Amino acid sequence: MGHTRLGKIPKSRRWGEVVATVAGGFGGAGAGKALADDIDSIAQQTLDAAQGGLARAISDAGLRHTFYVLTQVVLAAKHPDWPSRLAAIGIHVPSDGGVVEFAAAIQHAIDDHIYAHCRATDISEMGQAAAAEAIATVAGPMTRTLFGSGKEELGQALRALSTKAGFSDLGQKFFGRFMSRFLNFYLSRVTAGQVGGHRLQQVGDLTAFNDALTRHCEESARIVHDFCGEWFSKTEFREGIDPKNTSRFMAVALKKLKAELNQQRAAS
Amino acid sequence: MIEPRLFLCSGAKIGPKDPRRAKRKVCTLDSLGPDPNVNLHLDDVARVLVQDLTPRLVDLLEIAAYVFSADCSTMRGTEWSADDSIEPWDRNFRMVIPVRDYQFWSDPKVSGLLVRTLTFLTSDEWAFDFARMKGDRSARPYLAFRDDNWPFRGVGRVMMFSGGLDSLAGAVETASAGEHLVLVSHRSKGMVNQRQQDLVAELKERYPGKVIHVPVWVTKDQRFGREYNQRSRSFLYVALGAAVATSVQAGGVRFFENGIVSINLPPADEVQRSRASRTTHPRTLHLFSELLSLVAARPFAVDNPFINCTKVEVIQKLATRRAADLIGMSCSCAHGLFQSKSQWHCGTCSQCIDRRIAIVAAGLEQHDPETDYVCDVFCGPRKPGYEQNMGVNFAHHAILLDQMSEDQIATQFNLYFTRAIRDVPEDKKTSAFAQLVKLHKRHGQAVASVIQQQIAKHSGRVVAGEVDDTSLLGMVMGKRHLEPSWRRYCDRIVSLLQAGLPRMCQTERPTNEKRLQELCDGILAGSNMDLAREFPFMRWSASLTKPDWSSDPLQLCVEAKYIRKKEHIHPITEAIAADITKYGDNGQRVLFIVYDPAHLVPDDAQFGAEVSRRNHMLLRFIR
Repeated sequence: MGHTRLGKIPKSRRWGEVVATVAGGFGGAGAGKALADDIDSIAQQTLDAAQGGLARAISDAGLRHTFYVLTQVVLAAKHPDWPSRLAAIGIHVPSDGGVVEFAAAIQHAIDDHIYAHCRATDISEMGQAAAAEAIATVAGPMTRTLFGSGKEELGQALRALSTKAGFSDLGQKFFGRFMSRFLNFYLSRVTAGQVGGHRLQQVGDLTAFNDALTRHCEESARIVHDFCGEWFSKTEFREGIDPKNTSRFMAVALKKLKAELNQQRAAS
Repeated sequence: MIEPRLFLCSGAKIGPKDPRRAKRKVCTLDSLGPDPNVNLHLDDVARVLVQDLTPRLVDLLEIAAYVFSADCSTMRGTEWSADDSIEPWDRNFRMVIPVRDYQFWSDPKVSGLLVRTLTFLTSDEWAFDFARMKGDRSARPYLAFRDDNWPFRGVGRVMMFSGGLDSLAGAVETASAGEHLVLVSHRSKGMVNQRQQDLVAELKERYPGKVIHVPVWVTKDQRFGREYNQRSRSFLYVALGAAVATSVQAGGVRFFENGIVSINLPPADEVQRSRASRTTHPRTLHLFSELLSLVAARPFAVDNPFINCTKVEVIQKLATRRAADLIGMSCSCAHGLFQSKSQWHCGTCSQCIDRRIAIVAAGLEQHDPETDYVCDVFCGPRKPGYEQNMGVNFAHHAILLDQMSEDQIATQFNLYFTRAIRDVPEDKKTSAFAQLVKLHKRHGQAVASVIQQQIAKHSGRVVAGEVDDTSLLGMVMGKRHLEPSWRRYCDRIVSLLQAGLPRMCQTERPTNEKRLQELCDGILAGSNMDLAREFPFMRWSASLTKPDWSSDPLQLCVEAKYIRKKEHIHPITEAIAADITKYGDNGQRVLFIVYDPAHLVPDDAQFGAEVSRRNHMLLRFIR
């Protein structure tokens, strides 16, 4: 009981290059540098090897719905009776709930939708985890506590998200965290096996690497920061936000983020 | 993508043109026919009271056995798709099963709940077509009890007993409270675990008249493939428990599992969905309870009283009940069946690591001999791949929990905690969430504390560099303190050049090696690297040579090579070969820096192979 299945990375040429880079030594590019200091190169190389997966991610129904729910949450937060608006889309916020309970209610609604209308996938799971993190990190600091702050305080935090700037922050965090989890879905199969090697000398280096990856992806996601806010306010004003235009936007945002990650490597 | 399967069970037949066959591999499963390939054994059950199971319960047992057999026979995760970027994990199963209580199983509420439960547990896609069973297949009862005034009738819960530490602690807690124990054990092989039997015998001796043990097992035909993850195992296990519970009129089934294992947070980002098993996850137990309540037509509880305990806290319960001496009779290893008779723990799986660390944290090592572990959990060498990765992920995850604040834990693992509290009553959700966060914090603290304690215990070996690099301690500590200073110095040089050179040459690459050296010299001088340029002269045979840079205190020479064209690769290889000889014979260490901006070297490993064989030489690429 409590088993964990650890997988392997495919033995293709492109993944072989990623492994060589992570391993360092004579063969790998960037040898002699700690892996965390070479993050732009690793991220780009991984993205290159995983581009088929990212293409599928863009059309993943669960991921699309997760981002759509974020937009609906933010729209509902604009209204004085925001709990009822949320309840209408299946999100039931407990009366004394805080950010944590709110995030839980969102996840339950997304879980139910995915179960009823599509299939949970690794991508949808990463999207849900990114959404939960985005809400907790953006809305969390606006409340005194993550747990049980109460509806009033939670409502204020959510209203702050419902502005153009608020949605920009939420969007950047969501896409940054998603991309970080997406890349580490592959990389973590490689890095664990390289601890004790040239570029990850000890377990602590793995933490430094994971932190660097998250930071790098979040910084790269600045490219979608303003884009998120502008799309949100314009689309809502002109045609209203719906699952279709949200999906189209998400695809463009992910492509922008991918291009930015490639660009950063070229610049370095 | 894994080929979808259609399982025809209990002699079910469908036509050759039946659309359900389309694009599916068809397999047959049978537990009772003339040539059964799924064998469900429930025997040795306290020769008491004859009570045939209800047809619905027999159906449940068969369904669970077929589900388990389908799961075990269909491999996951082998052939990646979408240009090697998607790992096939989900499988697609369609099961055609004749049942005795057709009306019940064909009710969408029941079949829907069955599918939902299995989907959460396995991450697979399940569909069930139930048919009316023809003929009497229930003539042979699976389970038989005899006795009218049996003291075990009506116990609160039937206990799932694996023989590991958690279920042992649960048994001791329950028996110490004066309750009767009905222990159900499951083995997927027809092999009786001697240690489990000894443990039960000991419990019977300590709590006379209070314990009965129901060992059950399911075997499947060896012709089936072997999928080791077996995520549906607990469904079979709980079905067996439910059958026993119904026979003894118990209120339900109880698992004893510490909260860390029960929630089973992913220790790495690769571990998505059921890659981290959900065997006793609170959501799983809730779904089991709902389904079994429908099957039993009465409220049927499935619970886990240890959900808010860490492993250390569970073990401490044994000490509190003066039963710590039973620890040595328990087995936690995931590979238990494969160990020798004298050593029951591999020491490399996460269960063994978790067990050993918790026992040390509880200060009960005297009851868990080190010799029982094939590989010493802390200092033993780990093989590359599974063993090393498991050790790294376990330690990394726990240390991370120790270092994170509770808010950080609640944020990063939010999704997993929210699912765990999903079925908690609304007014208790907040405290349940907070308790789970604190639980994981305590776990992280306990593991980090034990690792520190072990480093202190082995400090002499640590300083001498005698702790194996691949051991748990070796991987936590690394060996930076033992790394020769000249290598660190070389790493610094390479790091500076890697950061500076590509940027300096972004629009215009150096025209020749001399220009490259000038650029490098500027970067190194600007960073206060105390290197002498083109010094000293060294004699080899009749010729004199001088390095591009050198450090006298470190007896280090640095040579920069520049690959501008493919044709340069061969002469540069020859130049490196000459330098190896000349500097080597002069007792110098050498760092070769190869600037290869166009990535012309096709095979870096091959290019640096000769250098890599020499302990006092390094070769690094800058690109």
